Amino acid sequence: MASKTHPLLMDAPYKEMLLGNDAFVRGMIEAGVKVSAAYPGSPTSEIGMRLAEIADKSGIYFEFSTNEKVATEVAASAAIGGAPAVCFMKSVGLNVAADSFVQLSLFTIPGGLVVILGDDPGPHSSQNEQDNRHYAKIGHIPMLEPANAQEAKDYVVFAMEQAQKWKMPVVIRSTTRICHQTGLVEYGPKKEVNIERGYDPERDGGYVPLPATLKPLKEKSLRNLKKWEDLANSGALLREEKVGDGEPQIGIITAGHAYAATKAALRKLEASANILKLGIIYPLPMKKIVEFIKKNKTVKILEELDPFIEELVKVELYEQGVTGTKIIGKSKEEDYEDLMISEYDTARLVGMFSKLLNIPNPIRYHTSKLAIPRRSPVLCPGCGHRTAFHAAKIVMDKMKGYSMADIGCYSLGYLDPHNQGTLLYSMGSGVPASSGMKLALPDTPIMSFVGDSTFFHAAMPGIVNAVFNKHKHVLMVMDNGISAMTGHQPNPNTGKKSIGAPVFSKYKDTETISIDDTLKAWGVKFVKRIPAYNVAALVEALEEAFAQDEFAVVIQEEPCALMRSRAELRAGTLANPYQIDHDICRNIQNCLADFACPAIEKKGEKPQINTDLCIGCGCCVQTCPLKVKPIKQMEEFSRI
Amino acid sequence: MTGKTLKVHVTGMGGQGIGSTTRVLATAAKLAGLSVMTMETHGLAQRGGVVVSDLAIGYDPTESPQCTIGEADVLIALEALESLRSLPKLREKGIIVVNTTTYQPLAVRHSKGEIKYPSLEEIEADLKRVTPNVLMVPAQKDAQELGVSRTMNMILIGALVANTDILPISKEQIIDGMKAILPPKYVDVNLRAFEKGLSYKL
Repeated sequence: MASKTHPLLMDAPYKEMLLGNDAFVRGMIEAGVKVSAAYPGSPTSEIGMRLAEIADKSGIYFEFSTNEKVATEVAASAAIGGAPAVCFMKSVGLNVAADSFVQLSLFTIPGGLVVILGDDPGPHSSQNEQDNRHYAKIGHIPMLEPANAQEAKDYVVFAMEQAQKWKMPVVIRSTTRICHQTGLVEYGPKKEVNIERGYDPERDGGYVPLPATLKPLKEKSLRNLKKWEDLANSGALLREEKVGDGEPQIGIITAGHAYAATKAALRKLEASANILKLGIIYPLPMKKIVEFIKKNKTVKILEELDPFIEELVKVELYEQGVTGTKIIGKSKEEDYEDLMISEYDTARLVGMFSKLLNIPNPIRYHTSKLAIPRRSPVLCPGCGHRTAFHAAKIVMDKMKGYSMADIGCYSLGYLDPHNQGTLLYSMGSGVPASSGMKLALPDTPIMSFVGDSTFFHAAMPGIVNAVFNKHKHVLMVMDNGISAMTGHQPNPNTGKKSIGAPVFSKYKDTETISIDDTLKAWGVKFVKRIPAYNVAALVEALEEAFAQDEFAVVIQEEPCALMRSRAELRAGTLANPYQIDHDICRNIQNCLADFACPAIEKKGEKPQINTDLCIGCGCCVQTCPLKVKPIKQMEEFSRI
Repeated sequence: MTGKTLKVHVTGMGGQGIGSTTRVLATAAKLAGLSVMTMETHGLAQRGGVVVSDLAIGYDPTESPQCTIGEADVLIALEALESLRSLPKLREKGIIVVNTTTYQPLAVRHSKGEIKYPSLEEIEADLKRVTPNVLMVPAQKDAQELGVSRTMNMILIGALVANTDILPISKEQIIDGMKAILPPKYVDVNLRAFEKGLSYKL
């Protein structure tokens, strides 16, 4: 691709199939964004990977910040200095960023700041499905919601234009279904943005909100919001459309993917409806909404998760004394057909509208008559976390202790057969959870797990707290050298050491920031680094750690097996798989029951290694109690 | 909606090439000048979890491309068991192309025998209960002969093309789609995989 222009950098007129996340990137290119920062998290991770990939050619500085709060502060401050900036994060990432996010509307931001949120109704890859539209209200920040890839691109450009015009932050709230869909996107021109760079600490009331200085700053923030209300009421990003050939049977107010799924559902039902499709979801275009409601006998407010729009609209209707239209939302018991749980898909909406409109549900489908075994997510073959959990389980079972979880691939330790990490709040919560648990259960051994990226993201204050307040428990750091679960983004621990890690020019020469030295500098005396593939050494180190009279750390180290095996497969250096010699095997099945590597399958009543999956780490051999091991590496094997 | 429409639901395990399967077909549709959208769904795990991808050709682009129950004209399963899990997506008399490759879920591996992975014969019979258009393709064996495991999805696309006339895209357009999105050095082997797939008959 060296000589070819990257598809995202083409000049208009041009049309390309883009992933929603790539469409956001194209929007940044068109909007003349100069600075972008993020912490990876599904469903927005691909935005960062793409920005890092094209950073040399796009003119957009991009960094993987250590967490979402840092990313927000980096981007916002660049924008305050005059550089158009974007930060983005997953749904729960905004909780981390919230402390600074809620301050943003107080400031005059001449460069323009756009925050892209990836909410996760479902949820598909999050610990909850929180509805971040509430944050628009808390932060007095306008919020837009695109309904497809084209709008994802267009809304970034629109949001940045307005952000610069009124020198204020704007949020684009997206969801997994928008981030992870592709559609044909028509490009617009790349904007030449000429903003005078420079920072004036005194501008518009300054940048230090204190009890004494807050009032004028907040007044400005509310005035800015009023401008957005007028903009919304002028019809910006708003579309009223009639669907179907007949007399409209219902009015529908909706936005985002719910709108797109509604279109499909109405087609299937051959129903006719008036739709008011919102692009600006906060502040709402209340004038237009009330006009729309008055025109329809029945209006369904259709929104995933919480009744956010519904509650705002109902207040307005009460204020205006509008009573002639039946409003169906989800906040009343009789509306519970539309639960506040999970996302919408076409079939769910077909079911809902078939009842509302009294049309027979046309969907016909068949299910399997066979019992389909559940397929839960599992750690990859050869994952160092598996051997580490295997060792931790041995120690925890023996000591009758409990282990606390954290967020990353290693959250999967909770599942069978390891069942390690049994209390989980959020990023970095494992160590403080241990501290609290230990206060309640002083005689019970307690440990926690944390990955390298999470260590730098949010775990450090909890660890320092454990040292400072003399909590006595054990931490196992799961060091695979990369942010693995979100698709292999570099973190401060990555440096040059991780085999197969994607190389972005920005991080090419980055030195690893040592977790060991960091811990020692805080006064942690027991820090032991052990190769993750060595179960006996891990068990020994954990037992030693528990024998300490203070907070102690064991670091298990092994590069992400998925990343390494892919790289080695490409290079032709991946180790041969193992196989089980059934003449020696006595079918004890510890390898299946205690270890459960996906490469060890059950064929008939015996374990058998799937050579397609086995990456030849040999860790399973350690689970076999026989002296002469039946699990052996194949001498001849050709990888394809 | 104008002209022919098509919804394809692709399922399998992370890492099996679900994304590139839809991308080849989507690119072919784009080259044919048709309206096209896709949507991928993947859960927590990079591997070991189910990944599905939906493709909508010829639909109103303001509609969600998601393939809902009873809607898929075509179901492609890169892993045999997942064809059963995705069966509700299929419309009446839709076509199912199944890779006979199996990956045992943890539930099976970890059970004391109470949870079983159904046999390929059971899977085929169950699918045929719903539609006569079921192609069981031993793509892993074929891919092994070709020497590149990541060609299994192109074998399945070939098998699909050879056995249906409902696609709004031609064989040539699919080949163009492959050439457009695959790394140049893998085009040839994928073309041979596609040709191999064409030899399967219902």
